[in-house]
Amino acid sequence: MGDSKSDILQGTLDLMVLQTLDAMGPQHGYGIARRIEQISEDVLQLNQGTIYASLLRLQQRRWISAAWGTSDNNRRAKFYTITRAGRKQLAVETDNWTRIADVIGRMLRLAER
Amino acid sequence: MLTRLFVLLSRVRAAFSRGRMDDDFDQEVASHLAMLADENIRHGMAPEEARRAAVIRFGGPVQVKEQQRDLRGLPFFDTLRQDVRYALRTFRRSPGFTLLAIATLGIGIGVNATVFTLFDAVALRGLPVSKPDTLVRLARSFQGGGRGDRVYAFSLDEFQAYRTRQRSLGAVVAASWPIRVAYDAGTLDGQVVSGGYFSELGVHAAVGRLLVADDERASRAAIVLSAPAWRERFASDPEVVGRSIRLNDAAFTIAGVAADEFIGTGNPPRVPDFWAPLTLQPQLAPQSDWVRAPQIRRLQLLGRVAPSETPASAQAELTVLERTIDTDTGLMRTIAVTPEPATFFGGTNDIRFRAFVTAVMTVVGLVLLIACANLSNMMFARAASRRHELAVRLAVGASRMRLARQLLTESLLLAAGGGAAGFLVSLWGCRWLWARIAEAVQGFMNSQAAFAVTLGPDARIFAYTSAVSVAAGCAFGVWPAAQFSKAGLARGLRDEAMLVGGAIARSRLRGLLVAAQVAASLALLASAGLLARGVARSQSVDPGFSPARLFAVYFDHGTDPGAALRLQGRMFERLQSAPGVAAAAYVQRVPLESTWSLPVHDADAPDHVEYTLANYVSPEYFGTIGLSIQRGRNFVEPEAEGSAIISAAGARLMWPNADPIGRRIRLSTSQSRVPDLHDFVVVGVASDASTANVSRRDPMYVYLPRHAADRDNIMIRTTGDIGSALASVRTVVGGVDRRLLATLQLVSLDSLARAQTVLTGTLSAVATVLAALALLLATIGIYGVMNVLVAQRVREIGVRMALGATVGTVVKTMLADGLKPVIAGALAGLLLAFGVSGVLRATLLVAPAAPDLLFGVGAFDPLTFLALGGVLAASALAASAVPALRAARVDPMTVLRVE
Repeated sequence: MGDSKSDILQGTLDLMVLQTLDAMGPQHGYGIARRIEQISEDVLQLNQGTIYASLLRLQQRRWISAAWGTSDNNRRAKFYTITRAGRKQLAVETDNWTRIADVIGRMLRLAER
Repeated sequence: MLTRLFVLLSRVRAAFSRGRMDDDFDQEVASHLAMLADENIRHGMAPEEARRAAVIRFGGPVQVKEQQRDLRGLPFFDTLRQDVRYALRTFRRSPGFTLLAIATLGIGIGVNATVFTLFDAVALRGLPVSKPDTLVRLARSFQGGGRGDRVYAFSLDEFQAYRTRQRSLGAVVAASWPIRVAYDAGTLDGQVVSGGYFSELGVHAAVGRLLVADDERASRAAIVLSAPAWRERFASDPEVVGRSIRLNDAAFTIAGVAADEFIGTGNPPRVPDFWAPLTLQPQLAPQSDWVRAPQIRRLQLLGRVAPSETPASAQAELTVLERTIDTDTGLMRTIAVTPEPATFFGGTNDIRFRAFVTAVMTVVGLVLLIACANLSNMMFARAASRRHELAVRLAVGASRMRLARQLLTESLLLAAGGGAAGFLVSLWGCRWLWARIAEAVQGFMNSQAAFAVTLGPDARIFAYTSAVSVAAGCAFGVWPAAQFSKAGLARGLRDEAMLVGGAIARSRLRGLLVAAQVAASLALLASAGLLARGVARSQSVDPGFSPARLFAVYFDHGTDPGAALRLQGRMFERLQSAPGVAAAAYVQRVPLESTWSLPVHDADAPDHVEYTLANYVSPEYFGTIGLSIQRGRNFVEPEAEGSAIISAAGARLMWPNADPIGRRIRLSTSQSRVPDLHDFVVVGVASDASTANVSRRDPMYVYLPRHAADRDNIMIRTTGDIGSALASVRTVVGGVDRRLLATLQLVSLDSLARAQTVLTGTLSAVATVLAALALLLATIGIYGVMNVLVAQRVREIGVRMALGATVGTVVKTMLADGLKPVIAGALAGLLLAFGVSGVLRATLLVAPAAPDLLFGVGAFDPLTFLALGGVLAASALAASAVPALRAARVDPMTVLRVE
């Protein structure tokens, strides 16, 4: 991957955000960005701002909802929560993703041989 | 699917709360940056350093916000909003241009919308019934091709046959022409209708009930009031239902009141005061017996084509059926019965009606086109003076599309303003025009009742106006937008020669346009001016006899020919001796109301043909209306067959140098197409008068003696107080037969004379308005072209002024260039005006019954033409002076510095 910062597929980022919110519960934009970076063990160096396009897309589809709240260190922040529709979508997407990853993995192993 | 809807909803919501959403996101970004900075500080950075690193890590807050905005709302509308806001700002900076543009478009669109509204009311709007588009009115076609009201008239016999024997129309219902009945010292107009009339049309009652089939079957003396009659004659009294009233001599019970919106189905539309069952006809029109007189056609038939049939198959069945009933022969034979869409004015499928509508629509379309062309010129001039702004915007990266879009938005906004103005113009224009038309129609038909039409704006009119506005906006906006958004233009700005080269060809077109507008407005001005002088003249016209005390006495003669003659004789005798009546006479055609004109020639010199007016009169006629017998003798009673009296002017035309008495003239006494030639010997010469049209002396008149067995009209001259004279006439008529009072009409010839001047007045008013509009448009056109000229030559003017040209020479050059097409147009317009006047003159020579719209004002009246030429010259000069003076204010330094 030449430019991993911007080449992250939109859908992939959306899926990661959904997964994060599902796993961690309500979370603000900074928290989500940090979490994705940590999980990827800093392989993925995000422009953290790009997370907001993803958050907006998910909100527009009503897969997540947002509300203002207060963070651990007493800062006002907007917290995002996964909705029931979001969980359903996550299940579908996860399923898709593993299937595709599986196929691609097999293809690549085949090519190595 | 649902997801997409959610996205759209959220975007629409966002588009309407941009400010709040922006603030919200600003806060969120600020909070995110603060947390990033906190983290950086925890890792040991200095606060300032930490904040900077946070912004880098975040990735450009401004871009993120911009991207968020695009994703969140509706970018198309955001741009639109920007364009609109920008355009409005530009408009505010040049209010003069904006107002002029909106006024120009308002006129163009308003005239179109007005014509369309009238067309809509006359031809498109259905009757006020349920499912009006399926309703048909039966119309017959005569062998002779005759048209008019009678194509919709059917007899009771025919109705009964259609009602029972045809299958292609679901049901046929009948409504009569209005019948006037006596009520409460006044009269009411009612229609008799068949039993299924209201239920078949789907009309509802406002109060009480409507007529049903049983009312007709049982000949129940019940009536339904129309809503206007209920309001005006019965004070909207809800207790009116069940009340018994006397119509003529019979008692009727009011069963109910029809819904307010139901204004009847008449063609032409007149709201009756009441409806009564068909079988009550003898009580309402006692002198007529429709049942036993199949030749009386007083019913209009309505129906709906059955779903299984087509209009063509229905026509076939009805025509076959009609052949078994129709007893007429020759020209009056019915060759087809057609179900026509039921509109208020018949014959909208008529080729002549269509041609007329097409012609009018073309004319008003041209008006709009001219308005657009003018506006296009103005936009072009304006864009030319905005070149630098546009060039700068292109230079800093605005795309060509974006710029074109901006310019087009301005055009469409102007068009919207013009459309709104046009809508207002048409609201007012329709009412004004309809009032004029109604006035003229009433004058012609001598009826008190105006036609009932709905002129209110409906969805169709709104859609039409909007479509016309958008089309206009595109028409005048696209060309300047395309010209000035050209990427190459930035180069063209410097390389002005290129632009000017292209503009020369276009400026010739522009000059032609201005010339055409000037020509048209001068021709219209001339017509309006002549008509206005005609109106002034009509106030003081001397008809050669005195209509003030003359009245035509109309009454229903009834249907039995023998009884009608006896009644007429009795009436005439009684009227002659009635108090207040100075004289009475028989006349076939009442002066100022109807005419008969025909060719006539000297029986001994068949080549000398003149066109004359003619009439059958009794000997008392001349004395009654105030004509004198100048030579020879009056008719006597009984007069010998084959005598004639000729008017003095006619005698001069026929025999300029000889004594007319004893000469023989030959003319056809048949008033139809087949000639029936007879010779008449001139026994007398009568004085001249204007009895056909108050606007002109009868060019020639031949009076023939009436036959004792003819049914003619009676005219009286009153003496003393007119009111008491008419009252005594009523008493006399009532004495002959009280039932005649309901249909008795005393029509004053004075009112007929006034009605004739109405047409000139109406035409004059319409022509004045059109001329004013044309002049306004032409003025705007001249102004627009001058503006373009000045804008294009700013550089040249600057250079010349720098080289020492004075303000005077600059203005003079500009005016000379700008006014060239005006002068050409004015000359063409003058020729056109002379042509129109000449045609008007020529028609008077061949048609003795044609009215002289100008009341004798010369068609080439020099005063009118001079005055109007002055008006035009003044407006042209004013329109050119403004831009020319602007040219003179060009500052040479500014122009040269731009170079």
